[in-house]
Amino acid sequence: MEVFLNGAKITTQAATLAELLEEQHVPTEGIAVAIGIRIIRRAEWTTTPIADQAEITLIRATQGG
Amino acid sequence: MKELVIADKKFSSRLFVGTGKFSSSEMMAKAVAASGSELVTVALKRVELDNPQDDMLEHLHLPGVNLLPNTSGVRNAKEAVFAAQMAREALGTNWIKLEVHPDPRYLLPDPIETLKAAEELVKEGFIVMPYINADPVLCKKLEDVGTACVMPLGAPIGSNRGLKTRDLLRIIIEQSNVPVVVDAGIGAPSHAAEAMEMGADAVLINTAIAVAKDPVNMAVAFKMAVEAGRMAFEAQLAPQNLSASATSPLNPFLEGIKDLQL
Repeated sequence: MEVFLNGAKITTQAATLAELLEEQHVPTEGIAVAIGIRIIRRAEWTTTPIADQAEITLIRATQGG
Repeated sequence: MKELVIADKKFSSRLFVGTGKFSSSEMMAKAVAASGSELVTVALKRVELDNPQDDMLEHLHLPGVNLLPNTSGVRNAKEAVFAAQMAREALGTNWIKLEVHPDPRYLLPDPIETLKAAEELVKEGFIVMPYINADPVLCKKLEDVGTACVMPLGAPIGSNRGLKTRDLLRIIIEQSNVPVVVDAGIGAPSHAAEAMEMGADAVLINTAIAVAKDPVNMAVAFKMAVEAGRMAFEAQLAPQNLSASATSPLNPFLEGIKDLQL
């Protein structure tokens, strides 16, 4: 299946959000995840399924004023 | 000096600092530590999948330092609310520096979208610190919807031009029932001291520290200026006069000496 991760199209075998993050080697500390505009709480990552063509956004803190 | 209270949190430092534009995370951390600041802004960005190891936050694990995520990069209220929700999830804080500035040239905040977002975020339980134009009417409206403070600008972000809005800042300070944090445009410690002498509750500094030749010493200079300005405000400045007012006695103690006569 294909999903969009921060705008980039990727092919994944992951069934859940937690599996996708692990598969893509994303460090999970200090990040937030949304599918579309639905923010997925950390506790729900393991139970949230990934759908084909899902638009997933991962954000974290960076330097700023 | 009196402690500053925003929402239910006490601050002994009235200097807030931003973390942008530093030459390195190490330099940023040193400057933040030197500033004595207890509230430090961070921005949000997408996780870079080809560079997922970003240790920026590790450098900010400093004693007494609280993170204040901002919504920089959003273009309207809807995006701002979403960004704040993401920030809360990522950083575990309900404090948010609300900034909506769609125009990239002057980065001036959009008052209408900011007010809309502030109202929504307050309802959702956020501690909202809105960055805004130095508009006294808008400040009162933000206060009415429940923002924890107001953050009027002195001059455009990163311009280092000082308190170009000083007359409006005076009105805002006079009218406000929530803390007034002067944000943006402060380019020198003297500007920060001026804001504090006027009665601002705090200032937020980023560019002036980050791009100084020696950011650590500049951070110390701002710390001293903010303390001096606040102390002067609390001590109450002497009034200004157009005419002179002698500080030394003007008694004619040399009068009558013949050899001194012209």
